[in-house]
Amino acid sequence: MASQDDMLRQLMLAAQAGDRQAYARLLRECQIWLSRYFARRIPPSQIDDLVQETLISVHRKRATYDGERAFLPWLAAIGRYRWIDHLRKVYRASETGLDEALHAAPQDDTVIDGLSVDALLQQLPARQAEVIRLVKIAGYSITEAAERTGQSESLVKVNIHRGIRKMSALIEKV
Amino acid sequence: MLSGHPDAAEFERELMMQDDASALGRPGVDRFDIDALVDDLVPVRRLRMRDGLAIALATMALCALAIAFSLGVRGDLANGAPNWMFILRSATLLMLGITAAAAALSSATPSVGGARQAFWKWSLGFAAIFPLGAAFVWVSDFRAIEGARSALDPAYGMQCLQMSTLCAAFVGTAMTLWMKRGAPVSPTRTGWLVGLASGSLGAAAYSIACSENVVMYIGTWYTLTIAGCAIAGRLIVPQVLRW
Repeated sequence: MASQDDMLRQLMLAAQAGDRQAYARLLRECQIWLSRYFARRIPPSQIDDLVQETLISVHRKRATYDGERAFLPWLAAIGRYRWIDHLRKVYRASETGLDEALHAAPQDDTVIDGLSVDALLQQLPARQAEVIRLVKIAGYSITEAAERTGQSESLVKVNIHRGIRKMSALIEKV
Repeated sequence: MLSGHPDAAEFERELMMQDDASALGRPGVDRFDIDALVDDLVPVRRLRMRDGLAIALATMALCALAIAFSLGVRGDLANGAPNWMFILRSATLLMLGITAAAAALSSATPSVGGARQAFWKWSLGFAAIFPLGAAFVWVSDFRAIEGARSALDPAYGMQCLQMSTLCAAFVGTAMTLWMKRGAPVSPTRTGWLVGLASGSLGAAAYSIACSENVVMYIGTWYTLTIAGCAIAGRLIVPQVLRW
């Protein structure tokens, strides 16, 4: 998932520099991602319109993407904003107000945390993040990870255990 | 542009497959709209928080210059030996203004799931020593109130409030105009922060002319200014920043 985000980040950086080919690819990827994102939130008949609106926002606000940060949390923030705006429009007719607290809807953050493991790993100590990347993402054995990092095997296990526990706590805290 | 990336070839293959899928009519994919956006693409300069902060501080500096020319600089500052209360007050206002401005301006770049820095909360907590100090004097030392009565005269305090608010309006307007290029996803929070920042920086600009060193005066009039600006920011800025 981190590599997908990195790829999208590269495409966006190229788009910010004016690369149309990269931009077309990026928008198609965003379209797919947003369709899935909205599918769990609004009726199917409204998805296409909201995706289009969000893509226009992505286009208008593309200068706000910071290339040093992950891409999907940026896209999700824009998608969530457009989604809330859409709900306001839908419910305005029935005079149902939406609380500003929707901006912090926890289920969205959970989705994004799931999509951005890399962002969570960045919040761990380097030694814990390193062994989790090697063992849990890249598929190396404990022994291989110990050889690559210079940590003992027992320390690798301890660091994986502590790192994952901390990541769980981070997800709950968001 | 992507040729240097190790997974570029694999990714391009995936995208080609997706192109085929879209040509077959994948739900939610409309090539025409995307092509229109692509045709409209021009290079953009990335929005950077430090640029917005520089604009806010430059506006504050211009306001301070205007105050110095129109009202003059307080005597101890002009003599190069400022009172410690002036230094403490200015440092507190600047710290609160800069940290709140940084928080507001950084919200122009949206994101979810990541922890945002909240130095402004610490600055606000520290700045609370002035209103708390004033409140403490109010309830504990009646003689001090007698001594500070002239300082609490609304005829004098209102000038402080009005001039600080005027400076804050310039700073707040500059920040809001810059923020309009951004994509703040929580306009209410951003409005509070813009108001807090502009109120603090506006008060800091006026501070160079304000000769008062009494904590009751500072805790009353400066607090009123900043609180009023924060409320104004909450009410006005979100309307302007909707996108």
